[in-house]
Amino acid sequence: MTGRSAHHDTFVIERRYDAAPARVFHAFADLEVKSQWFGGPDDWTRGKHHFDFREGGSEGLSGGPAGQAPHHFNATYHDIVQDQRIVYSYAMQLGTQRISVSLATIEFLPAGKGTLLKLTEQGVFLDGFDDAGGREEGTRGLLDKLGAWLERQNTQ
Amino acid sequence: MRSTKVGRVRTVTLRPDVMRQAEEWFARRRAQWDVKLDRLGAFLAAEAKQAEAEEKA
Repeated sequence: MTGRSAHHDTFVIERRYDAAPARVFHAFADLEVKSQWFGGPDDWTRGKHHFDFREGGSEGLSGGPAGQAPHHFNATYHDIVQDQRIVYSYAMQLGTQRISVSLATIEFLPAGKGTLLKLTEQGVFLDGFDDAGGREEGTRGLLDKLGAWLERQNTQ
Repeated sequence: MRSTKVGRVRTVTLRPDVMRQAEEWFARRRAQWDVKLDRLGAFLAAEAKQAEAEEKA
């Protein structure tokens, strides 16, 4: 923990699928289908998946690397337009610490016979958090940046 | 990364601060979505194949 802070970010991901918007939408709306592709990495333990897909309904899922504090995902659905759009907000917690809160908008746009899925996520990252694995990745990233910076200096 | 130069000596300071943690966190959120949406694509393709097989049967 490094004191109180709030950092914001937005990202957009687009994917084309050879399936009609209704089928892609269904993969978000049906628990049995959604649990086949949503959730953490395959080697994570998984808790019970709470799923109430309707406006005002909530979704909850926990899981994490074996022997470590679990990640908790808790969402509330705000706007559901059949086959067209889903808007929900969700919080991510590691153990008891809230890490981030996000607003996710998923649009299912017709594209020929298929679908253009557009995901927009706007989030706030809260207070920083202590994560050994992430820190290690981060350190590697820093050292890579240092290497690249040194290389640039050498070529100038 | 911060870099200062005094005479012939340049000091490079690494700052693994909260801003960097935030960047990493969002990069990871994005990477997780990439994995999930790939899995969704694989599921949709398998579903279509199965429907096609059932139609033929």
